[in-house]
Amino acid sequence: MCKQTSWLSVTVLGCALGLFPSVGSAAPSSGDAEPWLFLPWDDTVGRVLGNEADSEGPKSFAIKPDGGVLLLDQVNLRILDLDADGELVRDIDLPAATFDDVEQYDGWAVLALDRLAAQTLLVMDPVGTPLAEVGLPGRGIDRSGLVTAMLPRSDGIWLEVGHRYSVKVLDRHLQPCTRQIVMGRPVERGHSLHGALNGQGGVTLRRTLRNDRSATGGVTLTGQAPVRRIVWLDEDVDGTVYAVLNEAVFSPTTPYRVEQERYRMVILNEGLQELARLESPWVLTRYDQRVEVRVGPDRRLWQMAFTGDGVHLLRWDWRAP
Amino acid sequence: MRRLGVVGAVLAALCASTPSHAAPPEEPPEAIVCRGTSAEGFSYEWGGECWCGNGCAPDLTSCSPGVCTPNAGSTGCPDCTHTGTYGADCSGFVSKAWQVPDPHATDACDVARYVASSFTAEHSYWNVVPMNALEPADAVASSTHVILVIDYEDPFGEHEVVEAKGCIYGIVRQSRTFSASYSGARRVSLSSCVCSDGDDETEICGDCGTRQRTCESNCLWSPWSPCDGPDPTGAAAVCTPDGGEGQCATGQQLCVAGWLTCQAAEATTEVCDGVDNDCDGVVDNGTPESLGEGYPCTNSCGAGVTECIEGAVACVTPDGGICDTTTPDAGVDGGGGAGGSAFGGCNCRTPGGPGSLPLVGFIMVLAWLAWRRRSTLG
Repeated sequence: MCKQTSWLSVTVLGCALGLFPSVGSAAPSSGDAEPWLFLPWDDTVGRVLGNEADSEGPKSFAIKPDGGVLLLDQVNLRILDLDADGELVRDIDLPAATFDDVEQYDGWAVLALDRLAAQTLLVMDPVGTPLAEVGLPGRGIDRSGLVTAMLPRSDGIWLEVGHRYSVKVLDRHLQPCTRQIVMGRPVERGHSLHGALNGQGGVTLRRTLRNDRSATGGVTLTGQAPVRRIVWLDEDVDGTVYAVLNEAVFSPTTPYRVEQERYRMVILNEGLQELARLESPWVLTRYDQRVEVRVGPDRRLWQMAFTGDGVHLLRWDWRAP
Repeated sequence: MRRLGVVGAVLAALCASTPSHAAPPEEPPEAIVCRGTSAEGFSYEWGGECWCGNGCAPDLTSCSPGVCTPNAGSTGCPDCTHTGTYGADCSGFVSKAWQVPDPHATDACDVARYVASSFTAEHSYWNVVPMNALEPADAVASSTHVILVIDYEDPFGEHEVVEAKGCIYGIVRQSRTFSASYSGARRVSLSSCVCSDGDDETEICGDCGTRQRTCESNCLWSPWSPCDGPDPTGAAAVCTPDGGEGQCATGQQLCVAGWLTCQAAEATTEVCDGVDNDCDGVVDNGTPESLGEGYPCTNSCGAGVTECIEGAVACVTPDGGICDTTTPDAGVDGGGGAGGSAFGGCNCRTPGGPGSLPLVGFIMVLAWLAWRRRSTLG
């Protein structure tokens, strides 16, 4: 069992030696993933025994340029700053337990998003000193609860609304700015990614210049089962596109339970030609979370998954033979 | 909710054992959605089920929301304290929004309600529905929590919902997804016809454009279309984007998703035109290839190489003379792109500063002359 006995003791080696993830009956095979870190509930991270709506596992995580991870442990009023070996560098204090997304900006700022209570985006330096705070409601954002992604880009910080369009709320100096709006998810070099379920069990993807209404085309992605949800859509520094799709088969009879599901990870070039496909057995569990997948600066896909025992961080290298 | 509050448990037991409840009122799904959205901003109260609404909006003035505070050492209910009259927990909220087991005004407190797990099984007041066919006014429930869906799925497959999320959150409206531990439920007695075939409705969006919906053949409204509208024209179309440099400092006002936005001109490859095409704050600082520099050329002063000078490509001879009656030789496209060209006119002059002939260009001229000589001899 890949389980810790002391606070944040590194489990990387044990996991890499194949001991992972035999953690509880609910842990699926790690498949092609490289297990990176495992943190047990309660004594190290989160609070799984809540009595209210959701469990209080980490809602989000982010990959730092140095290969380390920021893990949003909001119920314990902190962000765990982990180095590339999974060692705890520091706790970054949070003022409330209602943050539900975390990101980093160019290695010099930490961003924490509170969509539902304070409805603000908090900007801190790497050790947690507050630098700025911006309210979410305003032009482009009627309801902060409808923010569906936080997207740090070289030209500033964008918040996606309803998976339809994105609003730039901070400029490249992380100062509030006149809000710009683009359809889809802005990526670098003046482009945007657009993804949508096509109503026929597949997904339509497009990559266009920002707000280019004349753009046509795109690709349709399908899986081995109907796609229920687009889990994540992003692009890396080289323009490689990553789409993570939740495939699910429902029972045709009441109560229509999910009979099988998985995540299909599709990697495409900037012309949206497929380069690779991966399959993750790790899916959203009853321990709800907001951000499950990130594209790292190392061009790997990182996944945060929960089991009854704790929090798993895994990474996927689509270029591996 | 993982456990029932005492009050909730008693009331739930009453609900389950009392057969004399009235059937839910016949009403359209919009009525349930309205009732649900009117709870946004009220507090989470363990065992509670009341709030005040004004149409589809919460009335936080007439009825002050309560305050839920986790007790010392606790992070939430039931180890919490609630002050104030109004508030609801997850199942109290959905029970009231659905008007089950009995219809009551939203501000009626201490009335019968169900618990979250009740909504996961078939019931005379609701039917279980597949999670991939959710509609507005459906509920989504697990053994511990229940949520009201208020819109069709978005492009990624998430839904807008209202839920009593917890002590520190209160009742919130948000976009979210559901794990396989949730199942869907649809209340009975929904009006089967809420509009007339062919009807349509239009709403104004943020600060430009509109959205529409039409009444479909089943006499139910279609989902709202995305907000869209025409872009401003004329003087209203010109804008100055924040922080833009070079050609990105000018923009066009667009109507995007119902909001006016200043779309900066796109950064492009730097060419020789006196404009900061790549928006890095420096004019004409591209590569020799993009600027059209270093190509052999001839002019009335003799043979030279092209160079970008003051926003135009000029032919510069080895002695430093520029003559803009220049004949580009093979491979010279007049400036490497959309930039201006200095080819034309005839005034030999001596450039200074940036006009000085680069060594590489001079070498290329010599190489070209040697090649030409060999070609001629051959």
